[in-house]
Amino acid sequence: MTESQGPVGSGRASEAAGASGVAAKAVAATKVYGQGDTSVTALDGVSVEFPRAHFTAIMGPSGSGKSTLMHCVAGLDSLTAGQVFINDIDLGSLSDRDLTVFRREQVGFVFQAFNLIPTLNARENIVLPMTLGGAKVDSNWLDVVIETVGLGDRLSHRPSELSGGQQQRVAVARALASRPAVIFADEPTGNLDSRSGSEVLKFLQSAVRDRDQTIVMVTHDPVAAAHADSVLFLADGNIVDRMDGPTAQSVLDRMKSFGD
Amino acid sequence: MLSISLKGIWSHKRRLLRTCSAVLLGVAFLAGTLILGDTMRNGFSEVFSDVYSKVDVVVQGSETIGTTSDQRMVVPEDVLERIEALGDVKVAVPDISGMAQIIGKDGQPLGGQGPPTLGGVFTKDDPTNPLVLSEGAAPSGPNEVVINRLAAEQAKLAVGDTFTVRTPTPVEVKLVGILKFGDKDAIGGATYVGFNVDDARKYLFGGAPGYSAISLLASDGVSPQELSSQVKDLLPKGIGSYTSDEMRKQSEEMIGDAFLNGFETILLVFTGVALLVSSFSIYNTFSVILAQRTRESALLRAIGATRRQVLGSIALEAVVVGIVASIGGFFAGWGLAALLNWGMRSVGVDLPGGLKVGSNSIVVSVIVGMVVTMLASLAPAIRASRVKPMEALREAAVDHSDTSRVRAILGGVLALAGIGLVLAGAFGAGSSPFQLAGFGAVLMVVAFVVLGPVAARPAAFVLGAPIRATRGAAGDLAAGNASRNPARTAGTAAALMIGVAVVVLFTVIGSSLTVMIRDTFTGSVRADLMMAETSFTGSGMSPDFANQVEELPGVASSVGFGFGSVLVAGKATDVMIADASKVTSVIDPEVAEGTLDSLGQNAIAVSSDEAEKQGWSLGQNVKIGFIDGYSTEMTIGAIYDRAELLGSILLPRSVWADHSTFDVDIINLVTLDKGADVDAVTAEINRLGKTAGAPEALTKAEFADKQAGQVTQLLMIVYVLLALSIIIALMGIANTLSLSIHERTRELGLLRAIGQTRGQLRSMVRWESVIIAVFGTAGGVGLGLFLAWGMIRSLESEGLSGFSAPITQLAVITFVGALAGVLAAIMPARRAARLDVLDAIAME
Repeated sequence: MTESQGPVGSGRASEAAGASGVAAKAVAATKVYGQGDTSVTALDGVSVEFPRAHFTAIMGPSGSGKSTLMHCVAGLDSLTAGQVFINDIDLGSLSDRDLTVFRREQVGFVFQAFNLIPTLNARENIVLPMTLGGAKVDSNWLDVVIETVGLGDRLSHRPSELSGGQQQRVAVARALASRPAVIFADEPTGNLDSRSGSEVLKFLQSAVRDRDQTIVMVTHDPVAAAHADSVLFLADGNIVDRMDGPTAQSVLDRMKSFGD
Repeated sequence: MLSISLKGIWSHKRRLLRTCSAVLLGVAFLAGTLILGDTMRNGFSEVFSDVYSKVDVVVQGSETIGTTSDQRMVVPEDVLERIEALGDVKVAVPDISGMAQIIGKDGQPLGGQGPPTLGGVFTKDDPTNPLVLSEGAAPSGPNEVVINRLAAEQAKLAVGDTFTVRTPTPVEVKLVGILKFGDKDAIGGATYVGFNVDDARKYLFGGAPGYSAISLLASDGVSPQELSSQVKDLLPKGIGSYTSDEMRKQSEEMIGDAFLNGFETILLVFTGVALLVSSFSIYNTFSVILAQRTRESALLRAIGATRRQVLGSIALEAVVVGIVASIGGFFAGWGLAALLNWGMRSVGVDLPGGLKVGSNSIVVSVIVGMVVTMLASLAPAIRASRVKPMEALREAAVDHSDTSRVRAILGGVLALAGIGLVLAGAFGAGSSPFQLAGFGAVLMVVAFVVLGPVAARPAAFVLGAPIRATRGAAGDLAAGNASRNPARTAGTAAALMIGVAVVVLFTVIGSSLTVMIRDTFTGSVRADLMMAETSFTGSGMSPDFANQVEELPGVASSVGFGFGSVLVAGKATDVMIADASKVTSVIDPEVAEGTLDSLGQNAIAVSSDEAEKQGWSLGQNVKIGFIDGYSTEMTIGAIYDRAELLGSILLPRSVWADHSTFDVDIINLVTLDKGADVDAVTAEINRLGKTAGAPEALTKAEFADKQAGQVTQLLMIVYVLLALSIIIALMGIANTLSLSIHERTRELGLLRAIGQTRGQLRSMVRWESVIIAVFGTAGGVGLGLFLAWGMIRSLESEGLSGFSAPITQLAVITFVGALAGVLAAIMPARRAARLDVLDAIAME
């Protein structure tokens, strides 16, 4: 893995801007909550690129702005200033409806919990973004995804009949199924025991390695971050550091220096 | 604990208001009914105290005979002489009263649809009469009359004008004076025509001797009670003496029996339906709210609150809802009553005394509102208090009530019992099949409510199928949501179900009545034309009119029918009066035994049902008593099968005319000559009818249409009254949807995040609502149809026949039910679509 493929911190975004190897990027992204004296700056002019087929972890102490960054880049939240691009499309230029459709087609999500619709079974949950869009399901690809999830005969089970780890794997499969430009994962293993968590992380990892999927994951957990190709460290709304080929120990050491 | 509860209630003001609204509407309806009833009772009471303000004692027949017309025994003339001879009597004024309907210059009779059209004797210096001359003079010569000012204004008559009064014989009279009643223009909207004594006897009494009443004033120093008891000793059997207080009370009771009680009862029945429906809304709202608060309750239990404390805090919330809603409802009802009272005033029912709010109506409204709220919230409260402290530690609490075996069995047993009773009633088992069917109906409603949750999941699956097929993902999700919590879906649908069942019940009964009316006229009526009085206060056509019509060219036969009341074997009974020998020329009552054509003077005809009920047979003698005191044995000369037109007893006109003061025809049936020009003869009859104030002649089909139209009008009133229940049910659906959406906020956020558009989200909520609404409507239609069938069948022995389900109307009801679902979903769907994705996801 070369330096140019890795995520780039603030100030260096211009070098890679527009490159076809970039799945998503933020340019001078600023997000301020509230007004006047009570305002809080969650993102302070962050510029960052997420290369294609790359697994990026975002870490930082609570309040560092890592979730805000993810939400903004994913098009769930709007910026106060700056721009966000996915596949070179400026999300700020899209109407709510267009943004929804864009999200449906180009963005996948895996949340910490409550990822699945309880009234639908596993298979229905996986194809939900496609059925919502009225798109025809690419059954070859779906078979591949389902095979990778490894749920076998549990596909017709409702979420309440699946274990936590199985539920998260279904969520990842759903994110993969529509072959989005980027998958955003928000603490995907936060609610799992370590064995299930490791299963899910390996699953994410293989999606990047074997299927060229781009994944951005926010996490607190150095072990989870160690599964990524590189780690971005945020503090006070700025990117303060970056680490390629992380290990759990190196990430932990870096985090300790934040006093978290 | 108390302050925790109060804080909880205060922090959910909006939810509280929505919960209140269902109770509020029901209570408003109740309070409005009670206040209006009080107001009218009070108004009439003031009218009567004014009417009897100038009299001490009244002598009149002690009992009214019959139910359709208020007739009393005639006071014999010698009674007046005997009373006048009493030393303690200062004045004794005899009155001869009856019905007198003023015909306006346009030929239209005045009144007759509500307040009475009275006629009586008016003399200038009658100290007992509350009516006084305000213009002109008292009637002295023949055919001179005075009328009250309201009547004069309505008929556009002035002193000196001539006009027609139907007594019922049309009489040409001259208006010589106008009366006022104190400072009012009428006595509670009634019209009054005053004659001189001779005219009153001639027209109102048919020349018969006697008086309808005698008004007395006591000499100075003699109390009305003393005078009344003195007079009593002089009176023959059947005539009584009453003080003005007693008269007032009697009159109030009569108006209560005749009109107010029935009016109030009908309104209260619909209030009951509305309150029942609102109790379901409250039950459901509390269930959802408490399910959502499971963790909160569990936390309270975990940190040491007792079960009783948790129950208490919920009960407190119910009490607050009950109080707020009941008081709000009471004031809303007050406004409603004021509005209705104003409306009645503007159509001429001018009751003195203004709006009367009895303390009774406050107490009843508030208590009923409280009780309904408390009962409806009881079950959810108990369920919530049973929550285990461990629940606090579990993941997001959702209302997971499931369908139990016990419920299915209990519901099944109830349903079977209900069906059995309705069937038994339908096939005429027991002595009162209608009550049997009615009790079965109540059981079935309960059974449907109990079985609702069991049926909800399969129903949602079936109803959801077309939506799944056509609405894609939104449809899938909607169907899934509708069946995820069967108890909630069923509870929400139950409110609508009950409302719809009642609507269907009335619709089917109305349509069956219409069919029956048509059958009657096409089946048993031979006449070509009919004229029928529409008023219900006793005015009608003169019996001579039928004879005059018969003399017109082209008319083969014309027969008038009137109603009367006689004592049959000592019991007051309504009878039909007609010239028996001519009856079969205009109708076919299917005479089974004997003959109508030669019934003769001293015989009656009875229906086969009545004969069976009384154990009568042909040739038997029955004792018949008349209001003039005459009593005789009459032979049963004919028995007929079809009672729709003739009723249970037919009395020959000649007998009636000799012994009554009031001989009028309500219906006149006309058979034409073969080949007569129907239009020309109809025009001729109507020309004659106009001078007599008779109703228009209609063909059989036109008449049946008109009658059916009246049924439709009645149905419309019922629909308006039931609309309230449907609105409450809709609010219930909207409320439950809102709460469900609140509960599923995270799920909605997830759907939005992975690409559901706002439109799709709205569609999802909307279709869930439609499934719930159609589920309720379908249940209601099924229940209503079955109950209507059972009740109509059970009333067959009472003359009701022919169950008829109007397909079009039922389809409309079902469609409206589905549409209601769409309407109920508007606000919740909008709120759901407005959810901010991030907030929704972040919410815990």
